[in-house]
Amino acid sequence: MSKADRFEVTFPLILTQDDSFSITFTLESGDTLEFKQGAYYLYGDNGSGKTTLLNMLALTIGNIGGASGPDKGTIKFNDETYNAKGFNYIRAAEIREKSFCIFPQKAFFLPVSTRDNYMVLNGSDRQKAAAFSAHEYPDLLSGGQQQKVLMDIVLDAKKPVWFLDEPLSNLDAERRHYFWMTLQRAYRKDLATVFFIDHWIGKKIKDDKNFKHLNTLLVVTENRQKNSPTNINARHIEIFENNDPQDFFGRQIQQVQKEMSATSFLKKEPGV
Amino acid sequence: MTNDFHKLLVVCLKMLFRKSTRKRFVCLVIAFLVMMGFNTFSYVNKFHKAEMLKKEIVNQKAFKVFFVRMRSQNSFGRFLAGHYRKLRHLGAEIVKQAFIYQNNLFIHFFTPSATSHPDSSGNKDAINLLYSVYHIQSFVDDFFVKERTDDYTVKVRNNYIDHNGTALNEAVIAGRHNTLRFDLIDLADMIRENVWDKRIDVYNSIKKSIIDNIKRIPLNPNHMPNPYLSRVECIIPLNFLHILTNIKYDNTTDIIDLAESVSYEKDGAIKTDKADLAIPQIYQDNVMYQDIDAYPRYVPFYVPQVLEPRWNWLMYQNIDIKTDFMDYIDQLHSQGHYLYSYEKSHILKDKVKNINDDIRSNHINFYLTDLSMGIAFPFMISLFAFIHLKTEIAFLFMFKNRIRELLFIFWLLPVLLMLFVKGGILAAYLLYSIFGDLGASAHIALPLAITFFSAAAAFHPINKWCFSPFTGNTLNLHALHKGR
Repeated sequence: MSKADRFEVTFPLILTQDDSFSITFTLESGDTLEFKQGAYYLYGDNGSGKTTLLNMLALTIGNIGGASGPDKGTIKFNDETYNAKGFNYIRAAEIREKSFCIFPQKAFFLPVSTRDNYMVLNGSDRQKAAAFSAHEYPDLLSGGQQQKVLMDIVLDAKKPVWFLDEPLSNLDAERRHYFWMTLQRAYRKDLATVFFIDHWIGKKIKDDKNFKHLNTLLVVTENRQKNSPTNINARHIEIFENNDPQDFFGRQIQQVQKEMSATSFLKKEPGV
Repeated sequence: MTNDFHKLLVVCLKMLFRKSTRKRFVCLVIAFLVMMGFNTFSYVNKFHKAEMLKKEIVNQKAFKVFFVRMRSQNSFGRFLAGHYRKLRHLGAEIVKQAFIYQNNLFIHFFTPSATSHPDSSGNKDAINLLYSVYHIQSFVDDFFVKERTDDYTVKVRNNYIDHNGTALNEAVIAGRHNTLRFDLIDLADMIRENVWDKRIDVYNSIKKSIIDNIKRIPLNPNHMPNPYLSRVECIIPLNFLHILTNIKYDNTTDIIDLAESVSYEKDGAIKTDKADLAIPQIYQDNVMYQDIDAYPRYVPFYVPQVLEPRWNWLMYQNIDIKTDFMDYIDQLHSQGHYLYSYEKSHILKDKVKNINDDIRSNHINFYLTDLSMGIAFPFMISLFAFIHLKTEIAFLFMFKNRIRELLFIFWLLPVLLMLFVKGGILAAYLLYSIFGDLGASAHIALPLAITFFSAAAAFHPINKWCFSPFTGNTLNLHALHKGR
């Protein structure tokens, strides 16, 4: 798997739905944004459009195949333009299956056993499938356990692009450790580009000298409903880039390990 | 089927049958199966009834023969000159050696040996048909006494069949018998014309022996007169008249031998020369029987293909009635060449029309209802699947390209249900027919197959439309996954 996968986004990027709702992404400086190898962190308020942008990049939201013209912005993945004529839902699904890993905000499973979930949603490693229970239904697990199982099922080291939408919520130190370890291992293999959103890690990113501020997006949402005044909101999304995130992953692992040690120390001395 | 597809199919079924949707989905499927099952069963039931009626009417022998009245020898001659060619063109052929006179059928009884049977296969079929319609065959077999005689003589029983008088009282039967005897005397007297000198004594002696001793044999109790030709009272072997004709024209035998050539036996049989019993040369190819100047009489026309199965573009077989022929005999009837049992032709047309109407309405009704159900219910099942599984399907599509497989699965499920219903009912019907020896027609498979394939084909784009939020150019898996 090549590590030369790249996204190229031309702004202003406009997403319209039902002619009543539109969201417009405009770049603060320049009109093209490029995502190459590395980790990209999206920082913004709730409702600023981070998840929407992530989904547009991941081909789960948007107008494709000429449904929106180039005047509404374009997204290219490896020189394939999403809204070019001839690009259809089958091609989108092929790209998602081959290249993208999407970790959703909330853990979700098909209502079958964890092994069946793995086989249907991933199925890339028969040996790994055997490690999942054929009788255990993931819906019966706790929130944190579900997050971990979902990581095991959908995070595939063979895919070059991961979209992680608040993957650390609900996770205790042990599982956060597992998450960073999974990310680090995948990055050593075929994973090339990671997009992630997280509200708790923002300060660390800003302070991390390896993350540089790439650009700022102005996001305008316009909601025109019948019999209601038009609602227009403007927010910002800051994008940070780290082209060599291995150190960052390592530091996160070390930090979580410290937390785990402290927790285990506390556990050993009840009453403290 | 690949392992991945099998796994996906199982997961889809598990999702449809999960606790929260199980009852609703099962109710939908049962409603589909029951409605389509009842509709298909109703169609098959009506098809079977119509098929039995169709076979009955197409195979009804009385509808293959029509008796046309001739008023006199001259009018018969004119009829042959004017209409015979046309009737032959319409597929009808005059049956030789048979006619109806005074409600009595005179028909030649052929010996069981093939050599004496009519050489024309059409006339052979016609005679066999008349034998069958009037239940004559067993009487014919008994007519020729099986006993060792020399090569030149033959013994026949001096009997006739009382065709429709089985239930009559003795006085009526006796009256009919006497009337028949007088008719036979009249006919014999017509034949006797131009016979002179001592031969007339021999002729009268033989005539008297035959007519005085002729015996009534009631129709076999197992046989009922054919309802369309039940007016025929008696069936008389034309052979007796042939004996008299042959005696009349025998100029080579001396008077003593001629008197002994036909003898009445004590057992009620007539012993005669084979040559005397055979069809006289003058009657071989002549249907006019000029010596027997008995008119009006009804001459039989054999029409083997007046009714035939015919394919309709709606993929069923109905009955094709030879309208040209029926119109022509109606025309003959109105011109004075009355049909014996004229009502039969109208009964025939009415029956054919009713059966054809029933077949047509059954098929049109089946096509419309089955296609409606075959499209509406699968559409509901697909909608049900989309509404209840869109969150899961959207989630699945985020990771795997299984769109074609999913569309195929949700197309296949209702199609398999239809196949199960139709295939099951068809197989049950064919087995029931085969083991019940009902002679069912396998043609029923055609409409069932056509509606099945049509519904499956029509449902394909509808199914795709049900899942159009996944197959359009506006992606919103994120919203669908959230249940919006």
